[in-house]
Amino acid sequence: MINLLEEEKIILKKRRHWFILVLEVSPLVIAAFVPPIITAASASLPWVGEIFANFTGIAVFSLFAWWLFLWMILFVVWTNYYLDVIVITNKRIIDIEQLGLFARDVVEVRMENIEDIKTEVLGLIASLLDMGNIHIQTAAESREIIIKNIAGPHSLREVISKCRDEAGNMV
Amino acid sequence: MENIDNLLVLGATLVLVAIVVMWSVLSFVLNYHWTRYGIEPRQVKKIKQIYLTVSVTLMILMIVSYFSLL
Repeated sequence: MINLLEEEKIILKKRRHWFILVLEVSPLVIAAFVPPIITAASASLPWVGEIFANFTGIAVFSLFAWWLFLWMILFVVWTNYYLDVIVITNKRIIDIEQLGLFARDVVEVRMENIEDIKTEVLGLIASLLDMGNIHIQTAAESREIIIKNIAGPHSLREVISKCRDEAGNMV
Repeated sequence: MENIDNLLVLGATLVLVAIVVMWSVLSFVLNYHWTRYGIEPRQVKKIKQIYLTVSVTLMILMIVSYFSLL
């Protein structure tokens, strides 16, 4: 949960592009379908069919165990995706990066400290899917914040710029 | 043939125990993350339901198929 400051309101919450999640999940989906497809294909061979007939029970058990294992991995991947989020409020940007189940990096930048925002969309797929990176340079001596593979980087830059201008006017 | 069957049942038992332990630990960890760090409680609730429904169904199927081996 995010603890908001006084008079702070959330303007936008953004995650990495859905395409990134699809890329990470697709090997798991393929892995789920491979055993039944191989079994079905090989069962038509006479000698394999004979062997399989003797071990149907263990094959069914292994399939359910495999699917349950993949289901758990799927949710680990999804959790990493889901908890990796950028929250833009009228006062600050909070970039939460879930690096794994037990590693979490949270960077917070106040709007008035933002100096420069750069977006980059690299490649054909990124251009077609409107996916890219945002570099946020801050006035503080801290590092530049890079938000990778975000959906709609240009519109996000505009939102941040607008919030920064509004925050600047209030100071 | 009987030796192979015994070996397979032993292997299945080990896999079953490993999966149940892994599921328990991972479910606890995932639930902790969703509850503590999730920023959309309604969405988190829905995801918990999907995760638990499917995993418990698969777990039951796996246990039933294990007992059919014995």
